[in-house]
Formats: sequence, structure tokens, C-alpha cells
Amino acid sequence: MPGKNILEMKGITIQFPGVKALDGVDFSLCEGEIHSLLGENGAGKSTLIKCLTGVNRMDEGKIILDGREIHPTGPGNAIELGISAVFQEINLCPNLSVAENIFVGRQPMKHGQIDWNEINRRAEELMSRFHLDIDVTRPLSYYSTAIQQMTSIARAVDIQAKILILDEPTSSLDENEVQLLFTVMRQLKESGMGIIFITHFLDQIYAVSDRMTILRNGHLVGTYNINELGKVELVTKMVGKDMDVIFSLKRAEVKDGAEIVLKAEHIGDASKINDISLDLRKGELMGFAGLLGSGRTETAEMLFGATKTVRGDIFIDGEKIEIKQPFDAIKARLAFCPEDRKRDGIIGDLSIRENIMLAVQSRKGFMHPMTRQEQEELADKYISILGIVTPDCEKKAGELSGGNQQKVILARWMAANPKVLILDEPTRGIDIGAKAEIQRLMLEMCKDGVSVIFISSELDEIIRCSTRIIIMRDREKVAEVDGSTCTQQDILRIIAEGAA
Amino acid sequence: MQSFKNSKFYGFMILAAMVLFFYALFKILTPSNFGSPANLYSYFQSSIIYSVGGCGLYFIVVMGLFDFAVGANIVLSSIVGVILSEKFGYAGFIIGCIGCGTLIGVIIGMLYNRLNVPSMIVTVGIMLILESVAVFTAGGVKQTLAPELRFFSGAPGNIILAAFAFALMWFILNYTRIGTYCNAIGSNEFTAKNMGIDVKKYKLIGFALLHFFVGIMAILTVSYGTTMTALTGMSTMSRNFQPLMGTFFGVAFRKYGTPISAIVIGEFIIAIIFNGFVALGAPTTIQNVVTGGALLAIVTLTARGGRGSVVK
Repeated sequence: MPGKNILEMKGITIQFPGVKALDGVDFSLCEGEIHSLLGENGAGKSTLIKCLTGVNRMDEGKIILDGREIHPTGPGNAIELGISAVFQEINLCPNLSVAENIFVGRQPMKHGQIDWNEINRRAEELMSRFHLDIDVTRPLSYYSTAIQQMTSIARAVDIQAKILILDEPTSSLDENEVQLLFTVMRQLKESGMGIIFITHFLDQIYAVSDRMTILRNGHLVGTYNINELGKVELVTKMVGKDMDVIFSLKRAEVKDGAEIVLKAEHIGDASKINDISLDLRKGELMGFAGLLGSGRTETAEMLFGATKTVRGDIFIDGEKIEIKQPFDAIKARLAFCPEDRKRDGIIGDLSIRENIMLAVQSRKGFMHPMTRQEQEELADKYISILGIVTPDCEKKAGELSGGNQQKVILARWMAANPKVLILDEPTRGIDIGAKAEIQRLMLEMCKDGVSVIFISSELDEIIRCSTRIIIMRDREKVAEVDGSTCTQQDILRIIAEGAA
Repeated sequence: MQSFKNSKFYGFMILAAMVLFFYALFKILTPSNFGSPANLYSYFQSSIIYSVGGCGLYFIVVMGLFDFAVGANIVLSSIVGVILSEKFGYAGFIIGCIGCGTLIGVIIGMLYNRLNVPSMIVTVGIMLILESVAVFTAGGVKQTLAPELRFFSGAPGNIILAAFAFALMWFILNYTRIGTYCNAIGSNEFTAKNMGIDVKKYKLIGFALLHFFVGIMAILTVSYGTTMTALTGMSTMSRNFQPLMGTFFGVAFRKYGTPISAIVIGEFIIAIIFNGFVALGAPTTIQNVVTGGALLAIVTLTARGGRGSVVK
């Protein structure tokens, strides 16, 4: 059972230029409690966490930790106060070893020297808590995103914080790894640690949480015990709308005799994917299902020229084209929204306008620059169409919430008028309302004749939207099923057994 | 276990293969003028001077910074060391070179942190100032190191001092926080800050360490050449690049865990190439073109990022 209150945040108000990010929000956390913090993108969850970790300064309110008012001045100071955070985007150094990453900033010393034996031993111990038997002396970049995320969590755990913040820690983990993480979370909870858990996966909230606090548009909706609210009520409170409206989406339908827009024949590269063939028709939405590492992203990257295709042919409108680099793909009117939007998609230091017009300008060419007025009109049009929450088009894209960043990337490619749009995990890490919005936009584009390849780890949305679904396993296409007739169980069985 | 292709041994093998390749190439082209054991020993002795500077530069290059004031500081520190050696002998010489070098490093680090402008701009400004200060300090006169103070001009003095510098570098990189923190800052400054690293402090330490090594390099340089003349008009700029070439080797071979060996052997390779062309009687312009080309080829083959990786 949760113990006494260890954290109280009272009347937290934070004002950003043109936006009140938090407005008098209260939040509390008990010892030995897992408390989910929920809300749509832009609801204020990240801002509240950044306030607690000293990244954002609050304009009003106070934070009381263990009965004492605190004023965290930055992440380092927050760690000293006993507040440790793990974010969705991995904040580690890929060129350092796993062990170094766990202990950097607080290495054990012996006789004035770094005690490498102790560091490596403790790192191995920590990773074994996650049932990971890995060489901790290897660079972090050598390992998968999931292991990198686990390293990040191991670092936070070893700091022996009073409060652990897990911001979307499961978004890059597979089901087994998620269960492993939950086991560790429960152990930490038993030891008296208070955990703030942010996730968009509803089932995960109910699997581990004791209480949940819901935010909407910077306001507190309420704090509830986990058995007080059902899923439907929870989502309704999060989005402030009826769920039925959001999910009244209709699968993309392809007209009879619709021509094949994109055809790939036996493309592959032995180290990434084996042998993939597919054909995508006009206005079709093709889903890619499979586990992490099954080759979905690699296939998309190959189609777009982001990674080298060693063999096979690609045809656009029946014409064979050679895609050596993304520029070739853009010229052929292919568009690609990558999986890691922070790293590969959005350019945080550029404004929304600049981000949106990048692909358009690339297609128009250097000799046909767009005037500032044309750029602004274009940006404003897509801000309006996609409902991007921003005071104006000059706001830096890096300052937007995850869902809005995703919409900016989508706007970039919509503005470029693509024939084929490849979306790799476009709904990862964004709230249910924004997810539905992105799905609606995809389906509308299909109606307008754009063909979409949609990669997602969430089978329900793949099934909800896709005309056809390609199922991948171990870097191979193992099946192709009709989106209107298959079920989640069918797909899971094919992924498990490897045959249609 | 580390794979063979990522092991130290593999790194050494590549370096050794490069040494053998260039040695064999010039030995075949000009067997009589190049590559006797005595020649090789001489190349090695001249290359270790640059290796010391290369070690210093490594601290800031891995952090993504750059320093154009290295050459100017070599000149100024040498002059200060020689002037002090006239009164205080070896103590004045060593303390003058290293003390002046380190002090300038601290000043550069503080200015860089304070001004918050790119390191390249700060150090170009400092270079111009240091060149003028060196002229004033030397009084417009060539400074000559007294013959009785030339222990570091050749073996074993120069090798002992250089070995001390390499050992110190090895210790700092492997057994202090500085090595890890410099790598972390180079990886992602924002992340490093969030991990509790005082980024500004370690950048300052990086510049101080660089110029501490530059101070040692000044001792070796002025001992080897016996004189030092202060010049203005960015003429010290050319002194920046030879140590930097060694640093490039160090950064390229960091993945094998052998940065110091790579700096030392890399400078030796550059010395072989350079002296090979001298032995061939090639014009200086051709020597520079081929040396530059060889460096580009070596670093490209060993350090280039994978397809799609961002290289700045």
C-alpha cells in the first residue's frame, strides 16, 4: 500500500509566450506509489515534469518534497534532491560504454582514480536485474534502442532516488521487455520509491498504476484511484470528447481497377531485410505489422533511399526508377516520416514554417525559391488543416509537443503533394486524441488519391485503417492479409508462427 | 566479448600496416635516401614533438571544439621559457614553458565560456593577440636556448619528456573523470549536462590541459630547434596543423580504444610520408598535396561514418 505523501506540487502555473502551459495544477505522489500522469499532447504533462526536474521555472506555485519546499534549478540539482527521470528520447551518450553511461557524473573512485572494476561490476548487476546479460563495456551505440532505454532506466534506478519519473519508457520496448520493466517498477515500489509513470498505452496504466492524474490543456481534470475510472471514462476525460466521435474512422478503400503506384520487386540487403516484394495501389493504405527488428523500418528506409538497396527493383507508375538517396525518392514524389521524429524528422531549431516548406522547396529546386509570403500562406494553411497548436508559424518546431511535431512533419510532406507517403510509427508517443487525428488525416489523404504505407506497433490502429496488411518477421515478409477481414489474433499468430 | 574488428589489436594492426605500407613505398622508390634505421629514429624524434601537441588537442577535439591558438602559444611559451631559463636555468625553462602555456589555456577556456561564441573564433582572436605579445616579450629578438640547457633537444631527454606526456594523457583518459566527460560532452552536450556534468568546467579543463601539453611541446620545440622567433600576421597558423593531424588519427582510432598510440603512430606515419617526399626531391607543393591527400584517405578509411550518418 502507498505510504505518506513524499511530493506535493501546488498551484503550478507556467506561462510560455502566447500559451499558458500549466494553470494552477496540483499533483501529489506517495511513497511506494505508481502514479500515472495522463493527458493529450500539449496537456501539460511534460511541462509539469520539466518543472519538477528544474528544466522549466514555474511562474506560480510551490513544490514540497518530504515536507520541505524545493526549487530545483536543473536536472543535476533534481538528481541531488532525489528526483530521477527517464525520458522517451534516450538521453545518454552513445559513444560511452553502457557502464560509463550508468555512472557518468558519479563514478566510484578508488585512490583518486576511477574504479573501473566497481563500475563494470555494478553495471552488470544492474543490467541483470533486467535479465540482460550484456557486455557493459561495449559502447551504448552497439545495442538496440530497447537496451539503451533499459540502460537509461538502470541509471535512474541506481541513483536511488526518492522519486522516479518514467516518461513514455515503454514506447520502444517489446511486450516481454515491458513486462520486465513492470516487474522492476513493482520492486522499486515495494522499496518505497514513488514513481510517476507517463504513457499513452491504456492497458499499461491499468497494469501497474495505483492512482492517475489527468491533465487537459494545462488544467487539472482530476486525480483518481485506478479502480475509480474505466478506460472509456478515462479517455473521455483526457480528450474532453466522446470516444465514439474519435473512432468513427473508416478504413481506406481502393477503387476497383486502381493502378499500381509503387511496386517493389525482391528488394533487399542481406544485413537488413531479406527479400521484399510489394505493390501499392492508388489511394490504398498498406499497413506494416511486425515486432521490433522485424524489418518494417528498414523496408521503408530502403523504399525512400535512406538506406542502400543492394538488390531488387522499384517502380513508380510502372516506370523503373533508381533510388540512391532520399532526393531521388522526393523527385519521384515519395515522402517519408521517420520513426524517430526528433532525430530524423523535425528540425527543432527551425520554425514551423521553415520545417513545413523544406520538402516543397526541395522539389521545386534551388532556382525556384518561394517568397516569404508564399511560405507563410502555406504554413498557415497546414497549421489550420492539421490543427497544429501554436501561436504562429514562426514558433520553433522543437518547442512544440510531440503530437504537434508529428503534425508538422506530416504537413511538410502533405505540402509536397506526394504520390506515396510512408509513415513510420507516426502515432508513437502521442495521445489518443492526436492519434485519431493523425489516422483521420491519413485516411483523408488516401481518399484524395495518395497511397500510404503505415508502420505501427499498435495492431488495433493498423487493422482499423489498412486496406492490406503486410506482416513481417525476422527481416522477411511472411504474409499479406486483407485489413477488413483479419483480426489482431490472426496477425499475432502469423508473427509467432511465421506463416499465413 | 569484443569482436576482433573492434579490438585494440585490430587497431594496432591497421596502424602497423600503414607504417609498413608507406615505409615500403618510399623505400622502393628511393632506397638509398630513405628509411635507414638512423633515418627512422630521426623521423620518430621529430614526430613525437607533434604527438605531444596532438595529445593535448585530443581533449578539445573530442568535445567538438577547435583551437587555432596552439601555434601562437608554442611560440610565446617557448620565448617565455627561454627568457626565464636565463635566470633560473632548467626550472625557469620548464616552468616558463608549461606555466605560460597552461595559463593561456585557462584564459582561452574562460573567454570561450564567458563570450559564448564558437571556439574557432575565440582562438583566432587569441592567436593574433598572442603573436603580438610574443613579439613584445621577445623584444623583436630571436631567443636562443643556452647550450647547457638542451637536455630535451635529443634522446634520451626528448623521449623521456614525451613519454611522460603520453603516460599523463593515458592516465587522464583512463583513470580520471576528464576522459569520460570529454567524450560525453562530445557525444551530446545537452545530455551530458542533464547527466550532471558541469560542461563549462570541463571545457575549461579541456583548454587548460591542451595548453599544458602545448607547454611541453614548446619545451621540445625550442630544444630541438634551439631558437624561437616571434612573428606576427598569422604566421603561427601553420604550427596548428601538424599536431592536429595526429589528433585526427587519435579520434579515428578511438573506437579501437587506442587514441594515444594512434596519435603517436599517426604522427610517425605523417613524418614518414613527409620525409619520403623530401628523399624523392619532390617540390614542397607536391609534398603538401600528397601529405594532405594521404591524411584524408587514411581518416576517411578509418573514421568515416556509416551511410546516412551526419558528419559535422
